[in-house]
Amino acid sequence: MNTVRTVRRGTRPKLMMASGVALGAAVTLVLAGCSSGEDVGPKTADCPDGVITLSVLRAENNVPNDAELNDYSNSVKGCVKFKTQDVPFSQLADKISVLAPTGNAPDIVGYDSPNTTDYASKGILLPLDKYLPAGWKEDVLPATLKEQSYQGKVYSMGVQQDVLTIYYNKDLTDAAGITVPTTIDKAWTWAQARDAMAKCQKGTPGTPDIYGLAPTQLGDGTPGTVYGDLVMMRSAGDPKAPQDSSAYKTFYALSPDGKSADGWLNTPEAVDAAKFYQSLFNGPTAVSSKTGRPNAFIDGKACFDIYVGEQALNLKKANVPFKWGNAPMPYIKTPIVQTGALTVGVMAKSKHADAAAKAVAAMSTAPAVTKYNQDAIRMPTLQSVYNSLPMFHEPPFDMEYNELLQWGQPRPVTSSFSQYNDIVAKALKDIAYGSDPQQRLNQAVSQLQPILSSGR
Amino acid sequence: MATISANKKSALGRIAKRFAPAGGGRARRDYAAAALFLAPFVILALIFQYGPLVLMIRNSFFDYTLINPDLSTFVGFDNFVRIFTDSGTVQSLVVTLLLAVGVVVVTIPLAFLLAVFLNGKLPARGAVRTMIFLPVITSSVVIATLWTFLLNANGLVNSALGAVGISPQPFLTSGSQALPAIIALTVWQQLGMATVLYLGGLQALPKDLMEAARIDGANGFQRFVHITIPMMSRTTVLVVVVITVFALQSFAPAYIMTGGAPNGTTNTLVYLIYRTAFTLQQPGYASAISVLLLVIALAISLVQMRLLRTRWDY
Repeated sequence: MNTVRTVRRGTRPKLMMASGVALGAAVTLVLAGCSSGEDVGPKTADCPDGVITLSVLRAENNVPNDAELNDYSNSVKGCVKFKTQDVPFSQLADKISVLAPTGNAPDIVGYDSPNTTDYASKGILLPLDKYLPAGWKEDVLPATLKEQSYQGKVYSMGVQQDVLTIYYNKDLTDAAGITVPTTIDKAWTWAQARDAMAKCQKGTPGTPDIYGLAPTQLGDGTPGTVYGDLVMMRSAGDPKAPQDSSAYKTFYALSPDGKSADGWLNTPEAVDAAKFYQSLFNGPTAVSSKTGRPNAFIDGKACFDIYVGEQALNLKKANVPFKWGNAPMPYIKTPIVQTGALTVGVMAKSKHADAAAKAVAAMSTAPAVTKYNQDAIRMPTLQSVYNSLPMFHEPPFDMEYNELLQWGQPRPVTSSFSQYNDIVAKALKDIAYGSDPQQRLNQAVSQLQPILSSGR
Repeated sequence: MATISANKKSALGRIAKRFAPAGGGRARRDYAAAALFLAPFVILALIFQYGPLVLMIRNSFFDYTLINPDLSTFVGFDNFVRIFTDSGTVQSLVVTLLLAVGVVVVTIPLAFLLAVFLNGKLPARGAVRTMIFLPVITSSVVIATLWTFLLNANGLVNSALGAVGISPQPFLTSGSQALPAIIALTVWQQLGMATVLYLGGLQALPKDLMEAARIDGANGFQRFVHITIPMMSRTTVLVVVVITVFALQSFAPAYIMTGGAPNGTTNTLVYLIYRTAFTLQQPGYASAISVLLLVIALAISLVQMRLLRTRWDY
């Protein structure tokens, strides 16, 4: 018994000490999670206000990239530094939504530009008007200005524009006797494009050996993105038709105030276009696949591929053993491409809003943005930058830029874009998988309408 | 009998005295020490588990967005009423229950038979058990991605079917095949866990009972049916509850493989909760669905435990 007592007396303080350490660690962990680090360093001769550290949230491998941030930091003698946080693109919008109302919101955010209205209407983004250089509004692409403005104020200046074109494997199209148009004035209609794809395709429709149209690389790699596929339905509309006509409404796919999809998304023209869209994936007319196959085009397993300008870079990097080119996007009635790309903005809650806005403005204008567009081979949003870069005046980029200038339209502008994007994408996917187009579009409208009306 | 009772009382008294808290200062010191030992874990559990649970229940009575949580409106039970009037949510509920039933019905017999098989004297038994358990500890994201490649139109499974003259199957894009495909994936992933639990149960069976049955002339099948299966009912309760709860929480297959398509036939509740909260910006409604899922999981577990309760002890 004495022995037991001796052991207990010896062990208890050690156990209590260990427990105390664990308690301290738990409390420290909790407090550390709730606190934010110091973001202003000591004052120096070069930096009389101290060295400011701006936090940046961005999609992986995207803007603002490390080179842009380092160049800006060097240009201000190191008085501004950056602390970056990268998330996968698919989680970026969710992350922004969660962080926006908290005390841990970043100063600068790289985000997908169609969300500008959503973020601006909810007070997440800082207006950048007082940081815009003289003549900027005349210099920027009209579609970019429209997409990145809200109630007359500019919330992001844009650093790049993505645009869809149809890449083609010239070896395969030549072998099939197909002449592919390479200028926008000779663009195919979708019926012509599907005929060409079917002619070039080899094997059983649905599971061919060589696809007419490569399974998409956009989104999750399956059909149904608003960016890539809604554009076909919009092209069935006509912006020059009377404003109360279904043709006019089809082209915009959403009312101008962003509050109504009924009668805009489910018009007769949109339903017919959706039936055509469905035919690309089903039955004997199928020229593509419902399920993904990454790199089908680069692997030489597809005649055509709809993708952004980045594909030109991918094809060059892969040093593919076939000749390739790109054609303008097909259309049903009216040629259209939807604009938008990752862009950079300043969070309204930033404690260093001025420093952050100056950094974003510098990164969004020449010479920084010129260097970025050239190095990353991404289409400029500023016409002056485009004019200064000869590479974008040559194929395949010259045709892409013409598409942007002449056909570019923002994706449907609404303060509920993330919801619109999700619900419409799911409807398009279901249609591609075989759902009744009319019924599915009506269902999407009924899901969207209460959300759009409430302006969430 | 009287002697036995007296002895029992005496023994109980000794046990009670041994485990009763000592009086005075020592008792206080013991309580303080116990509190100190428990405090770190209680604090973390309160902050990271029970706190969010309470917040979730509170949020389920409000309508707000993640971006502007300050602009919330108290809506009472509206979010709960909406669950049963929104056809998409009802469909998701049905899909999730079908998934759970499918997974349990297929997993339990397979796992039991596999455990019986592994309980025998096999060469390289440890390696075989590891192989069977490997999917359990593999990331759900990796498994979902792997199965996507297997089940795609041009995937390995369709290639194999093509080799024997069967036309390609739309495993992930057909309304009638997508949910069974996810059930198959989930069974494959959880089979190892159920098998190991059954194996533990089998190895704990009293050998003398088997021996007695053998002496009484029971053959192997009779021992299996009349002794092994009834004696494993306690393990079966555990396995059924664990597998059911896991199936109710299914997220990665819907998120990675199908996006809930086609036509919502793979739109599991947890995936719906994620979409509703983060993409559709209705965290109040998502919280209400989460509360419902919690209640369903608890209710199903209680019913299963009640129905499968054991009449045996050993």
